[in-house]
Amino acid sequence: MSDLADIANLLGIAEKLLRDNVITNSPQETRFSSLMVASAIGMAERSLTLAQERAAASRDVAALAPVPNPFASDSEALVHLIRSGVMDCDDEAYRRLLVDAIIRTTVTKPALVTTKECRLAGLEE
Amino acid sequence: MNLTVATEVLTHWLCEALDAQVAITAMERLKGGGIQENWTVDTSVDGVKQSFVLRKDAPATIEASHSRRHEFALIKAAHAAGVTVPKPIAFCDDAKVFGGLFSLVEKVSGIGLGPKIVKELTEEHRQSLTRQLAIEMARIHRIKPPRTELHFLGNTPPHFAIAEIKLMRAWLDHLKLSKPGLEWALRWCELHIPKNSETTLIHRDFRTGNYMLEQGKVTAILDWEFACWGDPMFDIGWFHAECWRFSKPHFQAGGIGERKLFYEAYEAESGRKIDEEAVAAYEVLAHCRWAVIALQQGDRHTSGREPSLEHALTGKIAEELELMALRLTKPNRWLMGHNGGLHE
Repeated sequence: MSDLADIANLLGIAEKLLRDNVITNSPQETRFSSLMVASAIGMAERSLTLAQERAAASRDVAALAPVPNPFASDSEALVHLIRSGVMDCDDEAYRRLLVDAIIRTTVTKPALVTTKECRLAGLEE
Repeated sequence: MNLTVATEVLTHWLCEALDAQVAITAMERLKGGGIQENWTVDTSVDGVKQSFVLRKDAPATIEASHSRRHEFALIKAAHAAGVTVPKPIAFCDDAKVFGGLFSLVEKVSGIGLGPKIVKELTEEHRQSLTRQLAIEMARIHRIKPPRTELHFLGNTPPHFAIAEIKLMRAWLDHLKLSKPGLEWALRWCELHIPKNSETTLIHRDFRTGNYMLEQGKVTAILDWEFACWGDPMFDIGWFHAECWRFSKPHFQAGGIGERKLFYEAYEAESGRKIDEEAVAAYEVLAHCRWAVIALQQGDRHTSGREPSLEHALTGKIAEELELMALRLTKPNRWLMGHNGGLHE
């Protein structure tokens, strides 16, 4: 499932939960449900913002060529290499994995990402 | 199930199990519990008020029905070892009594929600709670194999940590998920967790959120469904992992206290020296394990089996756990020797 489809799916579920639970259930459950809905909407918002920023950045890149990313294109092969020990202690592999994790975490839990990590991932602070 | 009839039959069973005159004064089914039903049962036992919790297997889940019996055996063993658990009262093997096999334990009071505990804990109670939990854990680790009554835990694994890592890789493969960041951290664990370790009973989910607390005192250690024979350092690593500190990272012992204080109390109670290198490695493994469990929860939603926003959001927690695990496994931390300063 693509990122956008995934987020769209979350929003659909969030809407259903809001209709089914928030309006009809007890105050305690309302609070729990509301928090979940807020989390989902927050992720959706940040994900879309990030996508827009990246699209804008890519328009600035000459020829608009996609950046090759072996980590995204063949993650199964990478998993095999990591398990076999070929990537042990590899600085460049680590940096790429870290940047990837930083970017994803800015969507799901931005408060966890440090300023230094934002810079490393080329993200606006 | 006709509750009036069930109450009568249950009353009769209680009289025999407790060898006393018992009258049920109130019963209420508790919310939640997809695998089991939980009921509070208020009684008068020989004229004295007593409250119990009845945990019943869901009728359709045969595997779960075994787990209630096993859970009761674990609680009994823990109680006998001096661990603070709900006092085990009796197990009913006769499904006709209450529509399924069930266990009966004393009802305990207190709060159990992790975020609430770390938020509301007073400075006055902080140190004593840290010590209490260390002592509780040390008492669990006193239980060693073989134990006839815990036969269902199987044989002791030759290499507990390696078995755990294999299990997590198998779970990821089963989910058909390629997670290179988690795999990096798991590979680090494979190289850094000691292969030879002591074997004791371990709780495997001993953390803030899985104990009950009342006015600074632990009233029960809960949630025994993951207990197994394993390395006691695993429990210490799981309890101290940053992902279980509930946004209180400076309180490294479960978000509630100081690591040093926990270690001192644990070592004093157990007589066992904590292997700090092993604990640091198990903290990395804790992030991986929780991430894989979160992904499994997420899969319940994304697979369409159990559409649920809660499951979907739990799956998303894996992202931050992966980042935390990567922070702990920088390339310059791959070559450290014993006590290589892995803690922050």
